[in-house]
Amino acid sequence: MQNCKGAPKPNADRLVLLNELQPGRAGVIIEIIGGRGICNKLQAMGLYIGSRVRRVAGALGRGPVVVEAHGAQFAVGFGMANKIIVETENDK
Amino acid sequence: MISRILLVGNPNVGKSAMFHRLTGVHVVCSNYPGTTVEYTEGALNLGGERIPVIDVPGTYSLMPSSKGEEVATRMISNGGAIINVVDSTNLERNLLLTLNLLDRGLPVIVALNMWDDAAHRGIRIDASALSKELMVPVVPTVAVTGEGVKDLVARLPDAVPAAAERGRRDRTDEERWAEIGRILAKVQLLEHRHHTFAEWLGDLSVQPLPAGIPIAVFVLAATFAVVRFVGEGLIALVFDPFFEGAWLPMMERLDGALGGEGLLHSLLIGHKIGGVIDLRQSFGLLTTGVYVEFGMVLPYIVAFYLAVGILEDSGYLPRLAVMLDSVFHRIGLHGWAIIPSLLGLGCNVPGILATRMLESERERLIAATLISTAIPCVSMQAMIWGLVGARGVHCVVLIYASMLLAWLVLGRLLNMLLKGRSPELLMEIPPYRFPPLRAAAEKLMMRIVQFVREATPLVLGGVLLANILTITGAFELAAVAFGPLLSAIWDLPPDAAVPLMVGILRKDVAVGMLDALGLNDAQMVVATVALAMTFPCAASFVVMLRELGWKGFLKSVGIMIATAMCAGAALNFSLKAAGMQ
Repeated sequence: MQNCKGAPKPNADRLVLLNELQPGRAGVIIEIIGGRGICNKLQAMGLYIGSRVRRVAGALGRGPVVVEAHGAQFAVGFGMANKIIVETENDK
Repeated sequence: MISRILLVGNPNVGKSAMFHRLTGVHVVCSNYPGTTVEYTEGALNLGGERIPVIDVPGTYSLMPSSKGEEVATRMISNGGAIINVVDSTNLERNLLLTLNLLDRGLPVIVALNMWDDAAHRGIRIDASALSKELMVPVVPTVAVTGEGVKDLVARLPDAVPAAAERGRRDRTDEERWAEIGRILAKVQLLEHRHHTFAEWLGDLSVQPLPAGIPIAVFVLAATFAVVRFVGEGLIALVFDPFFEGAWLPMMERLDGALGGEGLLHSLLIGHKIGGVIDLRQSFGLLTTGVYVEFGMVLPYIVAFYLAVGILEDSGYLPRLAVMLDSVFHRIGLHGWAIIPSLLGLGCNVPGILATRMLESERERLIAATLISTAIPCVSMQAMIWGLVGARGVHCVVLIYASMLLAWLVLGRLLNMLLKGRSPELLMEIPPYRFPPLRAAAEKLMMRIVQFVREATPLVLGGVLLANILTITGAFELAAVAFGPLLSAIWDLPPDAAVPLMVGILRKDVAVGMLDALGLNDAQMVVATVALAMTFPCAASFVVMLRELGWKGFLKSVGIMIATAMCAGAALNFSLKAAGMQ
C-alpha cells in the first residue's frame, strides 16, 4: 500500500485515526493510507493532506464517520476513516 | 459559435433545475448528490438558433469513480461550451472542478447558483472579483426560481473568447486547492452567525444515538403511514365514488348495448360475476383493465411519489444512508444503496437505473438483483393492500415479512459468494432545505404522467393477453405444462401458471388474476410472494439487460428464479406447518 505524500512533521501524541476523533473536535489530515484512487477521490471532495476537518457526529459500531471540511459535510465509511490520520487541534 | 451547451458541476448544485429553466424540459431534481445518472438533452433558443443543452451527471473531478461520473467526463471531453453550475453556499469545494475545467482550456461560464441561499447563510461573494480571478464570466443565479438565468444566457457567447485568452495549464489538485484558498480570501466574506435550526437538526440526525436512529425509524414509519393514508384517502374520497357512481353505470349501459355477450363483450366488459359487472374480477379491458390502473394503483402512485418527493427534496435521504450503512454492509452494499432501493419500491425501473450511483460492478449486480427479486413495486403493493388486505392484515404482513427476509438472506449470500468486497461509503451530506414547492409539484405531476403513459398500454395489454389466453384455450395448455411444477413446489393449483405469466407484463394485473382463482389464504400468500420474486415485469427486464449486460443479466435472472423457488417452497412449508389455510 502506497501512502499519499506531502505529510508535514506531525506531533506524535496528538495523532489519531479519523474514527477516534471526538465528535465536535477538529484536526488536520496528516496522512491517508491508501492507493492513488482513494486519495484522488478524497482530494476531489476536499479531504486531502493539510485539510482541516471537524467531526460532526459520533458513530455506532462500525458506522460511518460524519465530518465537516471546507464548509461541507461528508460521510466517510468506517474502513476508510480508519486509514485517515489526523493531528488534533489544541483545546482552547 | 457554440455547438452545444453542457451543464457541468459537483453533485447536488442545481444543474437539473437549471436545465429545466434553460430548456423547459422536465427532469427529476432532488436534494441529494447523484439524482441525475443519465444525461438528458434539451434545446435553448440563443439568438434565433436552437442549441442543444445537456444535463450532465454531477461529478467532483474529471477522474471518474462511478458510472455517473464516467458519463460526465466522457461528455465533457466531447466538446461544447460549459455552464459550470456552482453552489454559492459551498464555493470552496465547488471551485476545484471549476479550476480543473479551466485548466483544460475549456470554454466555461460560471453560474453562482443558490445565490439567495448563500445570502441567507451570511456568505457574501464578490462575483465580479471572482470573474477577474478566474478570467471567465461569473453570473449569480437561483435556478429553482429562474433568477439570473437570463443574464447567464446573455453572457454565454463570452465563454469561448475567455477560454482562448486563459489557455491551458497543467498542475496538481493540491496546487489548485492552494489557489482556491488565495481566491477565496479575495472574493468571499463570511459573516459570523449562529447555528440555524436546520443545521442543528442536521447534526442531530446523523448522530445515531440518542436521536439519529429514532429519527430514521420515525421517518420511515411516517412515510409508510403517509402513503397508506393518502392512497386510501384518495380511493375512498375520489376514485371509488367516480368508478362506482359514474364508470360502472356507463359499463352497465355498454353491457346492455352489446347485448350482454359476444367476443367484443367479453374483451371489453369480461364475464359477469353473479349476474353483475365486477370491476375487480370481470376482467374486461374497460372494466378490470381500467379499474386496476386508475382505481387501485394510481392513487398509491400519487401517494408514494408525494411522500418520496418530500424525502428527496428535504435532504434527509443521505442522512438515512448514514444510519443504514452498517445494515447495507452486511449485504455487500453501503448506505447509499438506500436510494435505489427506495426508488425501487415505487417502480423497479428507476430503482435499477439509480444503481449507477454505486461504484463497482459487483455492487450494481447485488443491488439490481435485490431490487428486482425482493422489492415489490408500488403498483403491486397497491394490489396487495387492496386484494390480499381484504383477507386480513396478517396475510399482508406475511408477504412483507417474507420479502424482507428474502432480501436480507439473498443479500448476505450474494455478499459471501461474489468475489470482491463492498467499497466504503463516501458521500457528501447536503444541508436540509425546504422543498421548493412549485418544482416539487411539477416533479410529482411529471412522475404521474409518466406512470400513466407507460403503464396504460401494458396494463391493457396484460388484460387483453389474459383474455386471449382464455379464449384460445392456451390457458389450459400453460396450466398443463407448468401445473405439476407449481403444485409440487408451491402447492398451487395449475391455473396459477397464467397469472405468473401475465406478471411478466404487469404485476398488478397478475395479482388481480390470482385473487380471482379462489385460492385459500396460505396459497394466496405463497403465490403473491412467488409472483413478486420470479420474473420482473417487461420494463424492468429491459433496463436490467441494458444496465448489467448479458452476463450480469443472466446471472441475476438465474439467482432470481432460484430464490423465488426456494422462498416460495420454504414459505409454503412453514405456513402448512403453522396450520394456515
